[in-house]
Amino acid sequence: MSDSLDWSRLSWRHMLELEACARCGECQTMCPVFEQDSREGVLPRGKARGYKSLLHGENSLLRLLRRRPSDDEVQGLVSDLYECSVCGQCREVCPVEIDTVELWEALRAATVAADKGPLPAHQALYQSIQNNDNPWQQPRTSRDRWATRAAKGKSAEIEPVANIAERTAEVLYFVGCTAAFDMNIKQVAVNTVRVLQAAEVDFAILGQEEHCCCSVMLRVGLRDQFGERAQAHIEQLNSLGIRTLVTSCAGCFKTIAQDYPRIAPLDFEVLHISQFMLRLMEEGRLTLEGEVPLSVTYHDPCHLGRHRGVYDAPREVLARVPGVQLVEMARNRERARCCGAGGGLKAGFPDVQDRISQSRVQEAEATGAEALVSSCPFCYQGLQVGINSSGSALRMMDLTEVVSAALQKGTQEAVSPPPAPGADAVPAEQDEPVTA
Amino acid sequence: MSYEHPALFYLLAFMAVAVLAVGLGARVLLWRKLASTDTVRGGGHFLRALLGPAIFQTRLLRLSRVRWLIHMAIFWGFLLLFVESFWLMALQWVVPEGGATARFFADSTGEAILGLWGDVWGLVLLIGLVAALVRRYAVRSPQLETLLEDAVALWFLLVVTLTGFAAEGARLALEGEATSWAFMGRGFMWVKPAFGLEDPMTLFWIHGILSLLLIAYLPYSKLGHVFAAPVQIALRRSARERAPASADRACGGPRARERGGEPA
Repeated sequence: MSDSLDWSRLSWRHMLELEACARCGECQTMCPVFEQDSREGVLPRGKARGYKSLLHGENSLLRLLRRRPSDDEVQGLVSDLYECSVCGQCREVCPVEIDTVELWEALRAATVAADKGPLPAHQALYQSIQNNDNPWQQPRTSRDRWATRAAKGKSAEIEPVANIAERTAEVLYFVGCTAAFDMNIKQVAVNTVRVLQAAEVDFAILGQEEHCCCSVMLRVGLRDQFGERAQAHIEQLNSLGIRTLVTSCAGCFKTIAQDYPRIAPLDFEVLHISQFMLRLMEEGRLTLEGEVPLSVTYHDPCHLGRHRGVYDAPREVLARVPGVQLVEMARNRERARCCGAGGGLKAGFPDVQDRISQSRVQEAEATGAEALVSSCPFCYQGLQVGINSSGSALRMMDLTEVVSAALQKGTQEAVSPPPAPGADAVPAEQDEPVTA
Repeated sequence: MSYEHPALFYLLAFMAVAVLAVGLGARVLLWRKLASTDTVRGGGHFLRALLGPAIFQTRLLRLSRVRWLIHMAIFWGFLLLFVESFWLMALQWVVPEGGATARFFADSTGEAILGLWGDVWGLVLLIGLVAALVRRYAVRSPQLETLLEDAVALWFLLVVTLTGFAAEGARLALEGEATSWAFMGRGFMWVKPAFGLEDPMTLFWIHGILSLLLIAYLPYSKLGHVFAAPVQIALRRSARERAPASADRACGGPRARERGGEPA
């Protein structure tokens, strides 16, 4: 009988981590999924015990004395493994410092290698990336549609954006699939360009030649497939001669800055837009003359905060916007609640993601802020789900929207209108939402 | 006082340690057989992390002082009692008989120090165990799930600890308590007569056998984390020291950092 997992996908460090779990339950106090689905199996403690048991049950010297898990039990373990946004909150509180993010992704890769995963919803995302180069099942040709009006000189907000195929640039603005394809979120791309143009940054975009960063594939365990696509993507990016790559999406940022260098070295620095805007402000290239009288609370994207350690830059940017008052949520920075959208959770378990998002929105409402600001289009989308479901009056905003509003002199309203209550955050023709 | 048949006891001790070693070794062999390689470098970082954050559980301290105190009491109590047992074995088999060291620990002062050492750390262990049991069964902390393995680990440790005090009480009853600093042992002198145990060595054997069973059981139980967790923490810490996590303003590939230059 074959093994339930391809154990060779795990390193001995991962196996040590399974042994090291002391079942203390610190993870239980913070896990956003357990908050909504209180089953031991979805807890890091439960996963560690389950997979340790499976490891020994299938491979140890005493395996003949142990009961081998049934196929249903293995399938249950796999399902629980995917019922997780891989937000890394458990990693922050684990007293034995188990790197749960790496461990879950390695276990997912081992599951996929044994043909036990990923979930069907994730397969659909992968198919879409293969067919369309984006997980949104949108035609590749519509990737730069958000910039079309500007290209035709019809946009009042931005100037035409240069394509890097037409001229070289110091900075590549990597838009990412969510901001490029989601009609409710494309304003993130427009606002980003507006800020970059205001600061007179020498930048360009890849247009239709921009590829999906393939974060979703890595997160759900399609590691080999990710490696192949990432290699080609790195070659493309390295050939551009850019000095800096700037992303809107925290997921793209983490993938390109952290995961790509494991495949091949990068010839450029990778910055999230929050970091880049702060740099521009510190250099005096981006000055905000308008006032935005707004009370906001800031949601730390998991991939930006816990996974990459970027907590201060977005807050410093907000602090430099005249009129903006930042009120922190009870759980912020390392302890920030997840919006539930990442790690394949939104695609695989949309109802759980909805409840997690509502929980975060309630926390934001408790601050009394008028707007919930984040700096990731995917979190934007994920939190908008919670705002819509709970009928919250909170306004969802991206960090670039706040900064963009302060570019003009005088007292400003935020530039883009909020989506209508109940509106889908994704185009109607799209299938299941994607994961960061 | 020592076992009447020390050779038998130490044979059993050897067997217990062998079972422990097989348990630990089997895991390492399993990992080597199945897992992909993962290079570990930086022995200095590892040792610093092992002797610092790993054995002092600094992250748990940040989370909760109470939980940290409970865990520290159990960990250090158990470890330092084990050190004493190891030292007693060394006195029996390794330290030259008639030498200054052997004479010191054979006379009243040395014996009193050992008695005090054992009772202090035994008491620390006992307090930790009782607090852990109260937290699990009386307070019913919602973050705890109690499976058989959790219960066995705690109760097993408690029984070993209590029989240790009872054995100490039996020793004091036999040898006299006048010069002893074993304050806990005195409190347990009632155990031997209360249970009608005629042979004073009975409690020693009960405690000894249970202790050896516990040692043999360690890697096959929840308590296996005693070995895995410190190594895990030290590996993580040393890896972070060698390659610090990116911070707000330090992101980018290695070749990009080498290039430096003015920002775009």
